[in-house]
This record gives sequence, C-alpha cells and structure tokens, in this order.
Amino acid sequence: PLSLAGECSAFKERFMQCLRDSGYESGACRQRAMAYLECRMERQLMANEPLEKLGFKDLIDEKSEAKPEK
Amino acid sequence: VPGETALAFYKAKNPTDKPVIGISTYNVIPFEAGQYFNKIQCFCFEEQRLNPQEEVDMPVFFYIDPEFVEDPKMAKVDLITLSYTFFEAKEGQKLPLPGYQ
Repeated sequence: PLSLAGECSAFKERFMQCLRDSGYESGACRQRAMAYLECRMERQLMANEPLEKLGFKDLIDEKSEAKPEK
Repeated sequence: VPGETALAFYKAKNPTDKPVIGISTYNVIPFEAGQYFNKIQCFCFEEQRLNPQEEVDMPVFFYIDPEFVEDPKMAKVDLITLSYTFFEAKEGQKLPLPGYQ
C-alpha cells in the first residue's frame, strides 16, 4: 500500500541523503534502504519478509556478529 | 550491481485543483533489458486517489537479474531506465503490466 501519511519519510530522507552523499551509488546505502523497509514492515505498509530474503543477508550477518555473546 | 537489491523512489503529485484517481504502469528502457528487471515488492499501483496538490512517494524495490552480465546482447548496455507513468484512471480500466519474453 502507498504510505500517504508519510510514516516512514524520516527513513526515506536518511536514505536519500546517503544517495546524494555517495553520488547515487545505491550499493553504498543498503543499510539505510534496509532501515526504510523495516519501517514499512513494522507499520504494515509492506508484506513481512525476512530481511535475508530481501538481499540483506550480509548486513544481517554483520549485525549479529557485532552483538556481544550473552 | 546486477543481483544486488536496490531501492528507488518516485514522487507523484496531483497539480490540479480536483482530486484525481490514478493508476500507473512502468517501462524499462532499453526494452530488451526489461526481462532482467525484477520487482521484488509491489508497492501497489492499484488505483490511488490523490487530492488537489497532494504528493505521494512511491518506492520500488528491485534487482537486475545477474544473468544480465552473461547476455552478449546487453554488453553495450550501461544504463537501464525505469520510468513510471501515472494515468488518470477511468472506471473499470485496468492497465496491463508490460510483458517481456
């Protein structure tokens, strides 16, 4: 569904800023793209899909490696 | 990079002083590259009402099939353009999605 209330526009703005800063290298902005999609999924503005299946597996693996072992 | 998922944003605005019901369809140029274009999430281009002066962001999440780099016909293609056209919807109208062999 289209997000008319702009619930995730802050995430979108961060992503767009990254694109501008990187000279529109979308590969440099995948972290922020992922954050935007997470925002949409949390607000039911997009079907839930595991992030690994959306091409973000490497970013997820990095995240979990960074977490300290409990 | 082919195979890498990517996010892009389009913006639609109704510049008139009346509400508009729109639907959109997309095009990939060059035409032959279209078969390698994969839309991952449909952000739903069904009928969408835009009030006067209303603007909405329309994201597209996609990837280019990595087989693209294997296709000799694509060797000279270094720019693929995805464009959306937003039409005013007529009642009962349904736009066909572009079909690629």
